[in-house]
Amino acid sequence: MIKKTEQNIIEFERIVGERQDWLFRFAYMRIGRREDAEDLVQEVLLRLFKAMQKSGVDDIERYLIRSISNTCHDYFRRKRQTTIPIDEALHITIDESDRQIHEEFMRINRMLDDLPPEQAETLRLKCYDGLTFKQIGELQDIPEATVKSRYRYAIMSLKEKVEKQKEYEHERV
Amino acid sequence: MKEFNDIEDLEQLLKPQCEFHASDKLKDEVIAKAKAEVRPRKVRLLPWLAAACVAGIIGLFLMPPEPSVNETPVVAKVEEKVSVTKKHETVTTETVKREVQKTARKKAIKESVAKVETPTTEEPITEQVEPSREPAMLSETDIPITRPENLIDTPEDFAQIARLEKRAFIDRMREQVEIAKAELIHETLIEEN
Repeated sequence: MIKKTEQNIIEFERIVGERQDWLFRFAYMRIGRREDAEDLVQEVLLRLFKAMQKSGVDDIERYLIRSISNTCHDYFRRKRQTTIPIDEALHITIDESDRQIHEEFMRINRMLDDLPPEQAETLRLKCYDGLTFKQIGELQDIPEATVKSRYRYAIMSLKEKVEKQKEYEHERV
Repeated sequence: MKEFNDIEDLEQLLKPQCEFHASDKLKDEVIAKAKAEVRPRKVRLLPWLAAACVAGIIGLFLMPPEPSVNETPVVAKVEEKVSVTKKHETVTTETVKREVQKTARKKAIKESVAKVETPTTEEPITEQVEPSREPAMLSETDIPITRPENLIDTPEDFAQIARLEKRAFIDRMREQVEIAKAELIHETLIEEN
């Protein structure tokens, strides 16, 4: 029992070292606040450790993705929101050290702002978080084909938006 | 080819452009909390002991007061009453026993007298005594001594005791008369023989 616990702690330390930044990025890109994002990461990692102690986790990668996604959903459910509105995100106070990541958060959110939420989330998961279509399908409990079609529609909409923006800039010049 | 390039460009635009780092203390905090989870919990007895002491003190303060000194004579009174009733009962049982003995003796005498064919006046007496005395007998069910109001002797009780005493005296006298009669008869019979 003690040996198993020690092994779990060593394994857990390794997972924290490898995955905490990825989890933090995942949470930050949806929440936009460092403190809240770190709280969620901590919650997810401790839940993983408890699961490891209790009965073990077969697929840690899958567990972490689902867990952080659900935790972010719960966070917004508590706040009665689905995502951070762009106007609200502009007024979030940030440290100087976090300016770069907050600009990144703003950049992505501005790009995806006009898209339907499920399409925007599919793009985030695929392009930003680097998940495969299969992983996204498993996470959202939808067929892989649906994920692909959502992705295609999202890209098309985004392309139109970018082209319009280019035309507008061309006309101005 | 142009469209393909556009999509690729778009995907490139959507990829992370900078590094995200969680704060340094996050890792330490998480690992410390995880280690605290597996550490065996210490059983803290002191708070429980303190709570038990407080509960005991509160219990002492809230306990109802013990019976005061004024109530003690009442208890003594009750005991007295109980002893009185017991005496009462013994008197009644003794008289009953005596009655039984008397009737047995009377029967023996009657038998002997019947042999001699001498008329006697005993029968009506026994018949009268037996049924009339039965209701006067007091059993434990008649007097529930646990009730305090039943422990007080009423004037009726005293009258009943007096009546029983008188009746017992008369019976004893009658018995002696009967014995004397029987002896006389016996002597006369012997003399005649």
